[in-house]
Amino acid sequence: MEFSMVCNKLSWEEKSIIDAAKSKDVKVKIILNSNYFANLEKDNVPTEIVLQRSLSFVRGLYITAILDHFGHTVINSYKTSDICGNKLLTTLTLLKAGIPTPKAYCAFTEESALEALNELGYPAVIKPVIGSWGRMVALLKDQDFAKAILEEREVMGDVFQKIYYLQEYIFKPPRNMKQYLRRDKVSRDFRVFTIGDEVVAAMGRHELEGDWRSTATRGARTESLHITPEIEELAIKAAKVVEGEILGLDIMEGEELMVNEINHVSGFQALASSTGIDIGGRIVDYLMEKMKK
Amino acid sequence: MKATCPECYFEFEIDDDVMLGEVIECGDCGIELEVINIQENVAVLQKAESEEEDWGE
Repeated sequence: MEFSMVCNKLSWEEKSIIDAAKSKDVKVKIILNSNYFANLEKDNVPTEIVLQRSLSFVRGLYITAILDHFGHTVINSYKTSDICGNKLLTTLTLLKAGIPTPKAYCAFTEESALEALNELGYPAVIKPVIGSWGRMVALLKDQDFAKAILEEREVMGDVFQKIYYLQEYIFKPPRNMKQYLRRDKVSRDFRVFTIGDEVVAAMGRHELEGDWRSTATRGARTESLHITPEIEELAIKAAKVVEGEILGLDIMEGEELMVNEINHVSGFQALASSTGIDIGGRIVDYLMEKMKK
Repeated sequence: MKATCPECYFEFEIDDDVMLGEVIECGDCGIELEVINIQENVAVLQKAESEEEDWGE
């Protein structure tokens, strides 16, 4: 058995997948997207199944489009990648399916964004529609700060940074009694990892020191999370709606559980470390089942 | 396996089972380096790609 894996580099995640494949006698053809090129009339990837692990969203999306064109089974698909890689499309997809997600607005100029924020209310969160790891995500505490951020983006931002995706800020729930007695902090959000129609692992993430964001890749504290039936149901439903096969879902607890974002090339080093689950191995198992079909 | 940092020319040893595409750190200047070729027990390195604005999950 053999599958291909497209990536920018061999990070911890890719190495764990390679090690797992080796232990299961599965070959992996590594395709570095920096070296990859394609004659658009002639396929040059030898395996049917391709795991897309590109950190670069744009490269990954277009390579997936090419591979899809040639009939490969790419995980995740072009459709899933396109939706999950774009916060506006993710929100629209979730809303259409009736899946709880933070209230969001979208505007295209500084003036209309300020009007949108007046309706949405402060505090609010501004995010680039395409982006990850908390980059250029800002907490707009009031109109003055919003004006400053928007002005900066109007002057210095590229085309995508001038699409103003604005989201309500979700306040964390109060601590429950157990957390109170243990003096635990309430986690900012949860990262839930799904493979197929199964929740494989989940962790709570806390805000970075001196920051309001909780990006694990940037060093946010994480802890294993008990997967409740509610979290499981929400995660699987959201994964199905975006037709994702291997996903990292960001779920928040406000007045209800809601899906904030969905990651189609999810990191899982922190998750594996927090939970002790061999996520790389589970991914390979899933790919092996697909190869058998 | 021998390797030489293309930035500071520091020569150092890396694991024999290193793979193409793997990112390692120069033992002297600390820069991130990508393994782009392996020839006769010598790893060829180049400066690893920096995080771009569309990188992530």
